[in-house]
Order: sequence, then C-alpha cells, then structure tokens
Amino acid sequence: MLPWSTPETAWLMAGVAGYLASTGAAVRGVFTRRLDHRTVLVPLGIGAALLAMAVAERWLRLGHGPFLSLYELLLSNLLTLGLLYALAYWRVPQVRPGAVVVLPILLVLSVWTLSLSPEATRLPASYDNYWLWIHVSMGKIFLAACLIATGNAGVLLIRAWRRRSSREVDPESPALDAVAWRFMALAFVFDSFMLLAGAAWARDAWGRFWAWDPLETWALVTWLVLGTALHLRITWDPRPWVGWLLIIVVFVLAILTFFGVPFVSVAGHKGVM
Amino acid sequence: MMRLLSIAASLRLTFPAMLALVVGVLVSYRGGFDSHWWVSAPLLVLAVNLAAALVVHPRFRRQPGLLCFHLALLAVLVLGATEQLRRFEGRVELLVGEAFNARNVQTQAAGPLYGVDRLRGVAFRQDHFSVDYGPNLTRRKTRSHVNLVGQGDEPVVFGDTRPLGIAGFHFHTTSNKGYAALLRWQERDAKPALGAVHFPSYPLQDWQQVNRWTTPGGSELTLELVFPEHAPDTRAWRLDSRNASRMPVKLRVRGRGRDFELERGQWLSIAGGRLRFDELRMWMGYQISFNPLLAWLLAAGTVGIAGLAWHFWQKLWSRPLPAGGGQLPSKRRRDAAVVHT
Repeated sequence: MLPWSTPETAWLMAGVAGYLASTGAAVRGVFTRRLDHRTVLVPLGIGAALLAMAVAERWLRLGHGPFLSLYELLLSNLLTLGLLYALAYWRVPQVRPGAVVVLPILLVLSVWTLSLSPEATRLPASYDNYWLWIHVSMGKIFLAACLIATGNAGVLLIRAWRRRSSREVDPESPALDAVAWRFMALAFVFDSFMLLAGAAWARDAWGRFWAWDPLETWALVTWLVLGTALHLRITWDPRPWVGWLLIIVVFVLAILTFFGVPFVSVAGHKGVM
Repeated sequence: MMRLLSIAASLRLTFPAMLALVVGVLVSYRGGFDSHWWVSAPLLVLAVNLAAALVVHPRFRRQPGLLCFHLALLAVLVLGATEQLRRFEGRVELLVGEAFNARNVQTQAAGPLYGVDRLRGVAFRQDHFSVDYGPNLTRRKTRSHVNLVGQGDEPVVFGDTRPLGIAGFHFHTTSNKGYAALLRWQERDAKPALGAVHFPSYPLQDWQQVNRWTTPGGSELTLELVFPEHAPDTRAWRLDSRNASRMPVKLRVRGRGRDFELERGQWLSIAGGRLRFDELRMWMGYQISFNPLLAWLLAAGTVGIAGLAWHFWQKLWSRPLPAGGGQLPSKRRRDAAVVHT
C-alpha cells in the first residue's frame, strides 16, 4: 500500500525523487565514464533535507521519534543513511566511487518504505528515556559507516571481477580499500556504543540489561562478526577480496538485524533502534 | 612455561575462538540456551588468549588505546561472569496496603552465589498507584507510591523508566496490575481468616476477570468480578487504585453448579464455612532485579570503547588517506572527471 494518505507522504516522495536523481547521475557516470560529482551530491543532499521534513512532520504529529514500526525505522534510516553518506561523499573523495553501490541500496530501502503501511504508532512510557536516544543515534552512525564501507567494498569486488583475467592493477584500489576499513573501524566503535547504550536502556525499559532476545542476539552476532573481520584483517592479512566480502557480510547482517529480526520475532524488544 | 604462554597468546588463536563464539551464540540461540558451554567455552578461551597476549605481546603495551580496550574487554568478561553468578531476577504482586514480603517473590533467575536472604533486607509498603491511558487503551505514565518502612515511612514515587532502588535491588513497575477481592473465611467456632484473590491483568483482560480458589474447607470455587461496564477505550482516562473502593462491582461465586453474586460486606454459606466479600483493592506487579556489578560493567565498557576510539583515531583517522579516489572537480577539471567502475 502506498502511504498517499499521510501528511508526510509528499515530503517522502520528494526525498525519494532526490535519491533517484542522485542514483541516476552516479549510474550514468559509470556508463559515460564522465561524472561531475556535484550532480550526485546536490540531489542527494536535497533528498535528505526533504526526508528530514517528512520525519519532522511525523514526529510533530505523533509526538515521538520514528523508532517503532518498520516503516518508521526505514524512514528515519533513509534520512540518516542519505545524510551521512552525503557528508562522507563531500568530505572524503575516496568514498565517491562507491556511490554506484550505495545509492541503489538506498533506492531499494526507499521502495521498501513506500510499500509499507505508515499507520500511527505509540511510544510506550517505559521506553522513553535518554539511553534510547543514545542507543538510536549510535545505531544509525554504525549502519551508515557500514554502508559507506560496503560501497567501496562492492566497487572493489566488481573491479576485481572485471580485471580477473588481466594483470592490470587498479590504481585506486589501495585507497578505496583503506577507506573501507577505516569506516569499518568507525562502525565497530559505534556498534559497541550502540550495544552498551542498548543494554542500559533495556535495564530501564524492562528491568533487565540483557535477555538474549532475538534482536539482542543478532546484534551481538553482528558485533562479533565485525570484530572478527577487523581481527582477521590485522592478524591474518587475508586476500583483499576476502576482506571486501566480509565487509558486505557484516552489512547484510546489520540490515537483517535492523530491519528483519525485530519484525519476525515475538519478543517485546520490537524494532526500537 | 613461556612457550605455553606464547601459544596461549597467539593472535592466530583469536580468530578461530571468535568464530567459535559466533557459532556458539547461534547454536545456543537456536537451542534455547539449554547449555551455557556453547558460549562459555569460547569466552574462556578468548579470556585466556587475551590475558596471555597482554603479558606476551609488547605491542599492546606500546599502544595505550589498544591496551585500554583489551584490558576493558577482559574486565567485561570477568565482571560479566561474576555478575551471572551473583544476579537475581524475580517478580512479585503487591496489594495496595500490603508490606513487601520476600516469601511471595517468584524467582525467575538466580546465580549460584546470590544470597537467598538478601531480599529480606527490603522493607516497604505499597501505597496507591495510577496508570494513565490514552484512546485505544494505550498505556502512558505509571506512578507507584510506596512507603519505605524503617525510614520514617518515607513516601517514594516511581514508575516506568525510574525503578525503586532499595537494598541493591531494583523494583520496576510493569504493565501487569489488576484488581483483587479481599475475602474473609470463617469456619464454625474458628477465628476468621483474611486473604486476597488476585484477578488477571486489568484492563488488558477486563473481559475475563476470573480466577479459581479452593476454600480452606476444600470447596473449589470460581470467582468472577462483574463490573457494570468495560474499561473506556475511546478516550483518555486514569486507572487509580484509590477508586477501587468506590467501584460498583459484584463478586460472582460459582461452585457445585450454582452461582451467587455477592456485594461488598455480604456473606455466603459454603460447605465447611462462610465466605464474605470484604472489599475490592488493586495489586501492582513488579519486576525485581539485582545486578550488583552492572555499574562496573557499564564503566568498563565505556572506558574500553573510548580506548578503542582513541586507538583508531591515532592509527587511522588522524593520518592522511592514501592518494586516489574521486576528487570533487574544480570548474576546470569538471568535464574531464573520470569514474572507474
């Protein structure tokens, strides 16, 4: 169902249009081999600003942040992922080649958001404390860092696959690889903070800090796999493509944890991220 | 000895141990955590590996951020294991006016080093409570009033994200609360016995306010609270335990195929004695937790993450990035910008 009837719909549609324009520019650049990066950055930034209006409209109308339903989670993450990727794209030139991977992912999330029911939600009084804000903020930065690293890892894998039969060396590869792992390191720091703040929040919300519910367990698995990937990179020095695949695995696990597990489990810990 | 320590400290051991931990968590999760060894064994190996590595590898000591993170990680492992041994989780339902009694607590989890008498140090009396509801029975603010016994009956108000902290325990209000019928049972020539029958959570189950009770005389009864109307679900309202005494309610008593309806103060003769419906009160359900090392765990985790952030900042983010990648083109270069994909 398309959320035509909700007041934030117009902002959401306009924001998605911005992301679509940005994706179009990035993909066109791949085929034409020429790209003015501003044609990617400007519509991406405008799209994020329009999505911020959608989130603000809903927030003011319902009286709480977009934390609860899958629709709200996707809407708020569309905003933060787009905004943080735009910032990285602007300030760190080495993430720009990853746009052809990152922006289609954002578009898939956009289509998913548009297909969901935007019905109103209610934040339980027992959920509402400052640890929730810290937990949510850390989680969003973690996911954005993973997405940026995945963009570079995806591009590097595509390039490696296309050059598999030649001995030609990609001159950009070391820089893109280094940046991908820097963002994975950043993701690990914020993922750790997210788990810590989540435990403190759960203690106040439910009276226990850890209960091995599905979301907690999968969040821990994601953290462990991310930590293992960083350790593997440092101590075993595997082939670069192994590392890039691991980055993508961590991102897929994070996406499943954020948008899958909370909505297929029956635990009380529903989607508040 | 040093050779053994070197083997235990090998960084190449860390990767399979971490993988084993991932597998252990997943296996335990799928199996409902029947055996803690799937998680405990890899954690033990990782703890030994880390402790040995801190001794053997000078690289840790030369990098304060990394050292701080790994020491904190070790502290989290030790504190977490100790916490598991000493923790307690339970629940209790308290009637308005009733003093907390440790014997009524239903234990959900208790570590082997948890002192069973510890809850006896908790003394308070339940006073009134209120819960705000919005339309569609959406629960909002909960406020529970209690009096701390032995501290001049000091009144305390708490609820939702603010628990009652007493003698190291935390008492959290829950969505579980409801009505209770205070009953008086009298057998011939005996002193009357007083008790309360708690009914299911209200207003969640206001359509089935039914419970079973066996009298001291051995009669099995089904008790039902009959309210003239259901809880309002189209407007905002407040559930206040102080209103229970004014609620127009009847107690339906069913036994041996016969139904009786009692109002407050009415007696009913049953085989073996007489039953009186004294009054209607409310009860509040609490989740109780005892986590003595939680603050230390939080502190160790925070210090560790700060150390890790410091390490990554020094080693990665404060250093210039390798050359390459797309530069934001100047006006002159814009047309010539090339994307490699």
